Amino acid sequence: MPIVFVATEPPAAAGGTNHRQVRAEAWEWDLPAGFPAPYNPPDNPLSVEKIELGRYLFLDRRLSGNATQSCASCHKPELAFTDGLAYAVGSTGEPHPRSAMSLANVAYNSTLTWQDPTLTRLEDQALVPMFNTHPVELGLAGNEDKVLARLSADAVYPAMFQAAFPSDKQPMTIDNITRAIASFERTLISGNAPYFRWVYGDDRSALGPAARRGMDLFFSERTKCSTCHVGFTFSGPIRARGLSDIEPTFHNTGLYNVDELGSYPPESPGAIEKTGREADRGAFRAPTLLNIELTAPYMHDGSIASLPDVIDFYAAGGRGRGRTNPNKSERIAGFTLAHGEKEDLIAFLESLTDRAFVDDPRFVSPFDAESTGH
Amino acid sequence: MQWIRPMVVVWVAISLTGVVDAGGGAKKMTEETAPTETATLTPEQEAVQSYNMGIASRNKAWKLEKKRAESSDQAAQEKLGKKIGKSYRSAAASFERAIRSNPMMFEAHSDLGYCLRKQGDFEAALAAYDRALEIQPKYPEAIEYRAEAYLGLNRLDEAKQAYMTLFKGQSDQASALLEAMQHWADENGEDEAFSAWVVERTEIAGQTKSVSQLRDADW
Repeated sequence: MPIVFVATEPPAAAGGTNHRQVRAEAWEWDLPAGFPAPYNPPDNPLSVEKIELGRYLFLDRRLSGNATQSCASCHKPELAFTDGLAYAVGSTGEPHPRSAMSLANVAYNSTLTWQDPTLTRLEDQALVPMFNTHPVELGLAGNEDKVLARLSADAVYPAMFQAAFPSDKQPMTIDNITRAIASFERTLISGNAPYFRWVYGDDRSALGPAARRGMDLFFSERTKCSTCHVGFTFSGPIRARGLSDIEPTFHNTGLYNVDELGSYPPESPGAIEKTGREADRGAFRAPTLLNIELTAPYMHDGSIASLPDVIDFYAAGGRGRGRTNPNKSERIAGFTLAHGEKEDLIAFLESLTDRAFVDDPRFVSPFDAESTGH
Repeated sequence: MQWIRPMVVVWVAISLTGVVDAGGGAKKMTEETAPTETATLTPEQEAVQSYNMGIASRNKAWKLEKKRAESSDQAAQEKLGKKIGKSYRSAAASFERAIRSNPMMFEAHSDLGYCLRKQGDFEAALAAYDRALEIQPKYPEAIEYRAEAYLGLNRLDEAKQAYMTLFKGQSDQASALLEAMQHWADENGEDEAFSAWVVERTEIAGQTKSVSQLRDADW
């Protein structure tokens, strides 16, 4: 049979530099080497104006009912978009049952929260902190008109909304707020840590010997770290343009076993809360390890204070009665580290810190910190 | 003398599942749409036809190479070697015809480079790859094949650079090039720094997952 040659679109980019331009609607991604173009929902195309509006809104305390908190109050750029607390605290002082997740590379996450497999769109997820009442987070429920009035009275927002949503007659809406915030969040791309400079930039000075040894350990069959923290996001399943959907996964790491039947504390039961599946009891999403050095305390409830403690936890195959949790993932089997290997693993984890990302000047609030900023 | 474009019976069209339209975009051709009578080919279509003939000859060369590798009879190997050379020469001639019909056909430049390289003409191969990449700078096949020509010319830094380009771009060609580099390092072991680099990159490639590998990863 004759060979068929079909001339097609130019072939997939083979990236000639450390950063490459990928066109996405009215937005040009400046992606780190090795990163695919993130998935973007077709009903919310990215634009410079929308992302800028989202940036303002993300950092603006007026977006909470009592004007005391912004998104950035719990997702602080300098802490890789976490807050340093075991439990996030809402605008009225109520603690959240789980810690604030990092937003680094959140555009690639196929699911967005610790234990909810149904939240897959950033636009939908943004509604949760805005309108949640148990606990109150930003506290917008019942305060929608007040918040929209605040934004309408602002000197810059009306024009920004118009520019971001030029075909809308009344662009200042809650839906558009979530669209803008989601657009900004999609641009939180972290890919310039030393690890990436080593792997994709072939910069042999980027990782020291300890980090190199730690990298070997991280990817080893012995520790199995990389079986849950997978790929360039070092997290659970991802979405990217051109990549078919991957089934969301959640893992029970053996943190708890309160009733010897596998239960976790009732305020955070795991993905079972949404799926009803027994296998999801105590199962949580593997968070990204990028910038992990900056995101203590660890685990979904901040119950482990430091990276050495996290490594001890996994080396022991869980904690206390959690080690015998019937739903514990078989990957959490425990391992033995030789003298110095824990330090090597930590050195590797520290090589995942992207200073350029956390110090990015665009994350500096455009507002006066005393009045409206985070 | 006035050149007259030949009237050609498009005998291949029925058995093809697709051909290239004149604008270069993909156009599916089915039995209903395929011309079955005499038709005039545009230069672009002529290029595609020549290109396909080149690919057929190249594939024949590959089959013969496999047969030669499996043979232990020296006489048979020599005979096959001659046939292989003939197939690559025939393929190169077809790719050259394709280029004459459509000088912008970067695939033909790239595959011409491949056939020249297989005949041992690395310099001419490089020139062909360079032309392919001038037209389409991100064509992974040409990046890979040019890097293999660099290996043949001992231009190792350029080969490494090409590998990083493919690796960063998540191209499947990266692993093929790394394999070729490993083969080169095995046969030219005196360059210890290059061998160490290949070992290191092989380790990294095994640890990291490309986007296509992520699709099948056990999350």
